[in-house]
Amino acid sequence: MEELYYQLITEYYHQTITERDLTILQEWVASNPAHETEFREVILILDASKLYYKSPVNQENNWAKITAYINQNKQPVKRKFPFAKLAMAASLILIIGFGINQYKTHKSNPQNQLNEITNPYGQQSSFILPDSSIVYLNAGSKLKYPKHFAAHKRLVILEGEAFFDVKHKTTQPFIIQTGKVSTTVLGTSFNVKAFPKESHIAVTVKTGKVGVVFKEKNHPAVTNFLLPDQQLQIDTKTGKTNKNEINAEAICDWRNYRMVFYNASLKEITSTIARTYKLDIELEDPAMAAIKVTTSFNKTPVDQMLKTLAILTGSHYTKSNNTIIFYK
Amino acid sequence: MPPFKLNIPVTLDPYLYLAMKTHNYNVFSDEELLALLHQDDTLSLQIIFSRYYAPLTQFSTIFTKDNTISEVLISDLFMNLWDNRKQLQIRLLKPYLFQAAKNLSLNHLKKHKPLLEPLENHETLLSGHLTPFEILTNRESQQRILSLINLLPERQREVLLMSRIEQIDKTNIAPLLGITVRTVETTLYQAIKSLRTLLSTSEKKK
Repeated sequence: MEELYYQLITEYYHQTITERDLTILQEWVASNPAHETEFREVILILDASKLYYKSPVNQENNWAKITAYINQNKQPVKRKFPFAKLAMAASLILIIGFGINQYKTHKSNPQNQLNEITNPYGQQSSFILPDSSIVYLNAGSKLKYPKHFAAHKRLVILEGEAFFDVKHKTTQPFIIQTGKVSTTVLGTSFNVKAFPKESHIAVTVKTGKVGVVFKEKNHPAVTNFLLPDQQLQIDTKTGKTNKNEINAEAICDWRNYRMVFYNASLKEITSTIARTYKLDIELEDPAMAAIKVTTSFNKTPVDQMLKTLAILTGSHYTKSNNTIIFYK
Repeated sequence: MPPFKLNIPVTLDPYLYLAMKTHNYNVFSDEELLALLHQDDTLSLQIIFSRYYAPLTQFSTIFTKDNTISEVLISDLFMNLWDNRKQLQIRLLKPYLFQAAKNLSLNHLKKHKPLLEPLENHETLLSGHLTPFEILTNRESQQRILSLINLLPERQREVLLMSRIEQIDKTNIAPLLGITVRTVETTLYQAIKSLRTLLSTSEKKK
């Protein structure tokens, strides 16, 4: 059999054959029963040799390994700097200065060395703490944690929203400080939302048991215990608490750009979208801020979310560049 | 070499960028992803991974003949890609990935040279209890073809198997094997021809 026909059959198999060649191939196959057998055999060979490959079985596991590897080695985000060399020289001086300063203060307060991770609007990140607990930090949020945890407690300071998957340690509780509220756990996974601009802090438990305390001078410190799929909302001014049964999975899924709002104010929803997608969203009439909405978005395009909100609140919006204004 | 050029327009609307990022990652070309990777974007690595993990693993098994080993090797490849993202001086991602996969697989073979071919490669040849009916059914013929592929001359076997990976074509295969596109074509037809000969002789033996 001529090479030409192998080529035509291969092209036929890949469906890249031209009309003209197809006619040539059809005539060749029809001209002789032996040709037809050859045609069948070549197709069979092309088909069967594909079966040499098994589909991968460990793709997801291996991706998890790669993610863990990246996060371990993640260096702080470096921004390009026009005066790189000058900055390097300056920072060297600073480092030396800082080093001396650190040396002086080190003895008095070893807990002083805090790492700080800040996410600007539009950026999420995840990383592993020194005790191998995992943190997913939402956009527009900040987490401070010591380079080495103290022996009797693991203290971190959060501004904004984060999901924690805490490594279980019975003798070393994990404490998250968010202003007057502190959340204490031994080992579990849960979400804390505490943006300074918002009037309340919300703690949602996915697995395990979590204790939340609100501390203020003239206020008795009461610990609220939460179980999976429970959410505690605390008014940061009055300390008034409100406990709800909730689908924690959905709340914690902001990591996958899913947003769930139960009876949330329009202000809260628009700030969340603004943080996540690095936008500037304004409400023309301040009264609109208080409108309550229950809705959810799952990787919904921004335009569609804005449209949905406009319909739900009976308002309209205009968009220019990254600024969006809602009006009645 | 000229400094690495970003293919992604720097003025890309961040709003548009995020919308694309969160909804349809696949709108980015390989080279745009490469530029994003250069800027420490982990999501771009994930997209490259989902695009190429399966075909690279398949490609690697041509050399290792072991799926499990290949999956480990390809995972290493992606960790290396991340580690070297700042130094990479490549314009096209796909040829780089497949070349790297080939190198990793061959290095692995050098270190762990198999003493004997696994017996299963010849199993179907050895067992002669196929009924005429079984021979006629497609599945049996496919199994026989698979067992015969490993008896092909090495270069023919490589070309035939590589041409079965959907993500690469003959223009990708040629540089990987250091031969011309034309040679890839003729080698492929020789492979099919050899297989047909092997098929008819193995049938006569029964």
